[in-house]
Amino acid sequence: MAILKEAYQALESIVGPEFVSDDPGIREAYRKGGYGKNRPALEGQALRPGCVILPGSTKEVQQILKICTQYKIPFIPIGCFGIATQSPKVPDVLSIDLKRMDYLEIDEKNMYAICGPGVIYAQLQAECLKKGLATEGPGCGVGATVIGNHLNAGVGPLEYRMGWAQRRMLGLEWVLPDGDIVTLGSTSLDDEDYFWGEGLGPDLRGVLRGTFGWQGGMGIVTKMATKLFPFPGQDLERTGISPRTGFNMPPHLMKWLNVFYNSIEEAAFAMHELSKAQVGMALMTAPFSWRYFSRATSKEDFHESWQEALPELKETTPYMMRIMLVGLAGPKQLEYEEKVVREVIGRVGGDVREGRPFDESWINNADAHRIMFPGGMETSMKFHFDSLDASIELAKAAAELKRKYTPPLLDDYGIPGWLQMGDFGHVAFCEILVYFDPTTDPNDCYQHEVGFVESVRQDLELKAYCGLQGSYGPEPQIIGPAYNNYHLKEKELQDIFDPLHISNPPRPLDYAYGIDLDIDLSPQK
Amino acid sequence: MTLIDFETYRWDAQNCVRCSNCRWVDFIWMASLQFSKICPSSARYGFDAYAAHGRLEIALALANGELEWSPKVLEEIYTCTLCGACDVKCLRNVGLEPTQTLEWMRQKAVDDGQGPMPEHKAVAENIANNRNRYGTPNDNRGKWLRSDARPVQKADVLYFVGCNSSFKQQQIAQATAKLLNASGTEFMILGEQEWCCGNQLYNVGLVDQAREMAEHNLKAIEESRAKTVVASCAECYQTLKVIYPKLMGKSTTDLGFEVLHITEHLDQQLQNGKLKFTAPVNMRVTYQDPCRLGRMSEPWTHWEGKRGKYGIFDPPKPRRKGTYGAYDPARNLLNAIPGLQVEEMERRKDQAWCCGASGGVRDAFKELALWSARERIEEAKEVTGAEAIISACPYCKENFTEVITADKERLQTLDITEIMLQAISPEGKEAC
Amino acid sequence: MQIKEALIGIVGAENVSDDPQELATCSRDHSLSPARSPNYVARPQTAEEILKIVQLANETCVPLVPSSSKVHFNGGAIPNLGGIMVDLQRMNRVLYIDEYNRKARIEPGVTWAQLQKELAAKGFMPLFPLLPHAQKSALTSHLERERILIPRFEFDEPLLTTEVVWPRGEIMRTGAAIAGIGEDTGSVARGAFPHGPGLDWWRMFQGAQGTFGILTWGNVKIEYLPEVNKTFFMPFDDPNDAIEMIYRIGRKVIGYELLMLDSTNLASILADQWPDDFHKLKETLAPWTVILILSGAPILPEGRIEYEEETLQEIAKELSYSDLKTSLLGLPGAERKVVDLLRNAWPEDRTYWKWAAKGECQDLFFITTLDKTPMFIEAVGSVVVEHGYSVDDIGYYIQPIESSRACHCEFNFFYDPADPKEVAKITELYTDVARVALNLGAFYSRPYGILADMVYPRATGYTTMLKKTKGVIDPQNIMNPGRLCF
Repeated sequence: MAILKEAYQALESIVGPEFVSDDPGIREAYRKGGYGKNRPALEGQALRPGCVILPGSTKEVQQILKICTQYKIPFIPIGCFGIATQSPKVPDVLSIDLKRMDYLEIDEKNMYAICGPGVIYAQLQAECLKKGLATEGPGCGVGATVIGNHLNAGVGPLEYRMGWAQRRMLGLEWVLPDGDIVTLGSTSLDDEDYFWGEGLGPDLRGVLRGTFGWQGGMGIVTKMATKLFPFPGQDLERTGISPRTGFNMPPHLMKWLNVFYNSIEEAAFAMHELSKAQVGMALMTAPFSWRYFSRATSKEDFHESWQEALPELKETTPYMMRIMLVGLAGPKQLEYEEKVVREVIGRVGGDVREGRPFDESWINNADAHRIMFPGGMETSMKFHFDSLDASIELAKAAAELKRKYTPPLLDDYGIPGWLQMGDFGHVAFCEILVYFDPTTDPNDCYQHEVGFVESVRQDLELKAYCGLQGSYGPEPQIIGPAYNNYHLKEKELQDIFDPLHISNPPRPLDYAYGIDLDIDLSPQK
Repeated sequence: MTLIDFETYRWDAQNCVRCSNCRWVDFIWMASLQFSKICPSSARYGFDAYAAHGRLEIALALANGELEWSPKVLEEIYTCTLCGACDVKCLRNVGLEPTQTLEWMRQKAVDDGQGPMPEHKAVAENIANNRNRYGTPNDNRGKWLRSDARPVQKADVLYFVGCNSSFKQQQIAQATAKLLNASGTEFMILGEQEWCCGNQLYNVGLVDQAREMAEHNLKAIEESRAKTVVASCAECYQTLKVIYPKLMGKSTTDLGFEVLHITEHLDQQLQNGKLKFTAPVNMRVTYQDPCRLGRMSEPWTHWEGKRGKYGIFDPPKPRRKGTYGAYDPARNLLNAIPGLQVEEMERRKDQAWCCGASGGVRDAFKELALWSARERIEEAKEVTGAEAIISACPYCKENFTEVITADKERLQTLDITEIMLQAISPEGKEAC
Repeated sequence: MQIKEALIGIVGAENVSDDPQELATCSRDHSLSPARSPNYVARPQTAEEILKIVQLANETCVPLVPSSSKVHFNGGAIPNLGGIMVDLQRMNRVLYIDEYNRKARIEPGVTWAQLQKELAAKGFMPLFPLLPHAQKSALTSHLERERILIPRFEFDEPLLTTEVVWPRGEIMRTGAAIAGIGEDTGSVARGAFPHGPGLDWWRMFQGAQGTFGILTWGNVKIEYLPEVNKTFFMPFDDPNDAIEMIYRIGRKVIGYELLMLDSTNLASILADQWPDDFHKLKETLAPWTVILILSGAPILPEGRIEYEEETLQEIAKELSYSDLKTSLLGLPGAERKVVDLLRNAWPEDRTYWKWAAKGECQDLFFITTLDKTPMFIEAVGSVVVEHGYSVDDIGYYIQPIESSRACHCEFNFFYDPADPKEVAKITELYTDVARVALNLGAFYSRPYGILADMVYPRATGYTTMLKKTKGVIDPQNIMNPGRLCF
């Protein structure tokens, strides 16, 4: 144990002996985080933490961080441990697992939920659906914690109507690295009132997160309210036995329409025209590979069917635009929106097919991790947030780049990712996904990393908005210098609020990124 | 030597993405915050070392020699009820089979002279000395028989009674026998030739001793020439159907006889019109899917091969995902009982919450076992307003009973055979 | 004199003033905030000129107060500590209308009237707050988070990306614009996504009353100008009933503009001739009116209006409400007039609607939830009466936000600025009402003037963090010092 006995005893006095441990087995279970961009790079690097603690309240979190400050103990806040950035990268870390803090309260009338950091989306969604409300299950799956994911990513299909996670954050309670508590939004004036996120005056949610946030590098959010949205969830029927579980969608209120194209441009054009009409609850193009691993019964099954299908897919390059229609106002809205979709597709072309009235992926994203079927690891070569037209341009370039690194990346065709619109089409998101095996051959991992850095350079060369910020990319090395050295401003804020740099070091600004892999990190190649 | 080769599953431990699905009820079926968890040890202790994803990391460290055995590490491993929920969840999405690694760790602990837990060793000693887990003379195994239960000397159906119903909750065996009679099923029993099935021996890593039980019982069954073996205990059922072939390096289909749980057999008889429930049972009940009758009961298919890139098994390995567990027979039977209102708990079928008794937990970690049972009882009360929680495994009932008695709950617990007995004859009520 | 010369060197003599009369004009606005003159007014036209002014301010430690509009209502542009007023009215170009992505890149001097006109020519409309003054800066309205009239858009915020001159003397864009803006500049980036790089710097400029930097342009969301509309007026005697109607409409996510006004404000807006029309209308109007405009999308517009109207009828039935109206008694054409009004700035040839009654108006507004608004209405009414006013003397405006999840609650106190006694009286009333509302849970997300003094001492954690953050962004505190908690 590297954490001082005195500090350990202090921690024990806060949470009791049941909820703190320096046992090697307990610590081992907190060595390696889940998926996320830099998991492969961490394979050989992640360290066992020095100690693990499970606080049960804000007060305990506050006291723990004060102990960390007093003894200069680096700490890592952990929600569900779904991302690699919560793996210790420096020795003798205190991993703070927040799962006991699963407080949840829903204001049904005013459509928001107050969550503790241990609450996952699936829990929130379960409670929301009963009340005719919904949150958005993110693309990474509803096993993610609501707070952790809001602070880090929060990208999902319903953003087309519900807006981005950054905006869904309302009042919140935040324990800064030194143990001081700050409350944001309406909570800044009233500890009990969480309904509003902005202000007072300048909006300090801006310090809390931007593209990807601090990834635990700025204390711990112990309570947060998130916006909820009207959604006829009571009418969903749960059905099936694992692995085929899902919601039967009430046909009078919900419908999937899938429209098929042979080029991404055609699909995007249709998306654009539909967004003008402001119809739908989700609007996206999804890669065909998703269909294959969603329907596969096992890895072997996926690879067999994928390899069999790939030659023809490469030849015909099919794209599927999906739109989920929901009658928020009732069946008549659904009828109207379907009419609009058919009218638009009639004008712009496309083969409309009614989807199965079934959902396991978007309302409560239950099968997100089936994305691991193909390789073992999925990462994002591009996170691109901007507009639809920018996304299409960049996605095409990224697809070319990906081919350069295939294999070891899993072979695919066309645009190997998904595009989706936000805010009824004002903004769009594009993610280029790559699948590979991070463990069987170390060179595959290395090649993936090289390709990834190349992708960042590509963004800069094309003057596209590189979304791989925070610990997801070489921020201080390449991205920051290209964007007015914004990372140095971030560093200054970090120096003020975490002068000891004890909150999940070295994140989010990892100056050592890539060094162990000997990757060329020059801005231009 | 461990029965399971960790190298086959190393890829799983390395590629666990920490999605935590293994801790939660299927996200589609999750219906509330309160009853959203599925792993008892993780829910009870909190630390990730008590959930499958953390245990995979521990396994990797043990295999790599980066972690040494300690009492705490043993506790982290043996507090798992091996209920199979993590397998169902992980296979649904990520395609890994954590239970194989969980079993391997216990086998390794025994191999390394560290496991199992002292309480398990005591049970193992009882079995070694007396062929049953309670240490009483095995000659008494058939003493549950009453005059109104009528086994025959030779029949196609063999009733494998199990230690618990033979020695402790004999009313389950008695009810089973009467139900077999009532459904026109001629059946035989092995008597003292029935040895403990060895479920716990296998689960705690005592592979060799478990194999000894398997060899004996399989031989006894073979000699009986039974075509069908019926078990009223979910653990015996799973042992016969899944663990024996696993231990013997064969598939379930190669056993030479069919293994049925009493609910499966009686459901068939119900559908055939040979079993009729005539006496109303006016009660509101809910049903506990025993893990080993439900998600863990799919047949075992022997597999040999290697694992390659992307974790692909060559040749493809059949996965047991809990899809084809025996969920419906018990429900069919209960729903056929006049007057009985059957309400579902939120966590049901493949998503059922383990009562906490299995995997050796009730013996070695009683507090956890009872905590888990208490959680389930809360769910039964809150979600369904039930008067009784019905199970199809004596260990579930035993565990529930202890909590209900201690907490002075008004809720009853019954084995499914007991409530069926009430439905075939008014006297059945008194018998229970 | 050195500063003036330096300013002349940056923007030219014709764009610098220290004329006492002009400075006096800048010293006050249409709020009750105390007057204070700047020492200079500089009128830059480019980001580079602003940058030089910021550098000058840093060198000389002279405060800067950005000002974009010709008219100001909340005291935010009154130079509390003097200094240089950076008047951005010359930066009045609509730089680009991105029809594909439904956004417009506008400079801070672009007024609501101008923006509406330029967008309408292309079949678009800006996302309006309630009847802004024609000369008010559209970008500043969005930057200051003035609430839009359409709660249907759950995503709510119109402001996307910005270019900012930072207080430490650099120009940096926020969001995707840092990579590029498209517009034939050769970038893939279009500058649509607001977040990042790294943190959400843009949020710190929002609601900051010019204390964190100076925007040189912003990309703002625009929408198609609906061609088919149907207006509904829903009169209510009891605000609780009106609120329930708004909740139900929000839950069904129907309609475009949705708002609630009292008879004073609605009459003020609809009156053509003062005071006769106003009084007549006020007599005929119900105490509260909920206005909902159903609008068609560019494709199959009638179909949308049809199902939305049916939904509205169903809601009315559920609430046993039988007063859904598509016109206003005694005001023929009100249904079309309201659409025209709400999708425009206030007509330039008419006295601003808030000033028509008495010449001036002080607004008190805050964010709350709809269910609390009747309580605020009652409490404010009591204070008003205690101060010798009638509740009829003040205006009320409730703007639902994000499908009625929350609302902007506004009280308008009309007064005669030429009557010092009344000014003193209304100042006292305003202060009391503000305090009472705060104690009842009003959230002043944009704390202007005395409200800042009320809220920041209560929010010690937020205030401390805000000050530290400001210390990083503006270490010399040159941007609008004395404002908010700085």
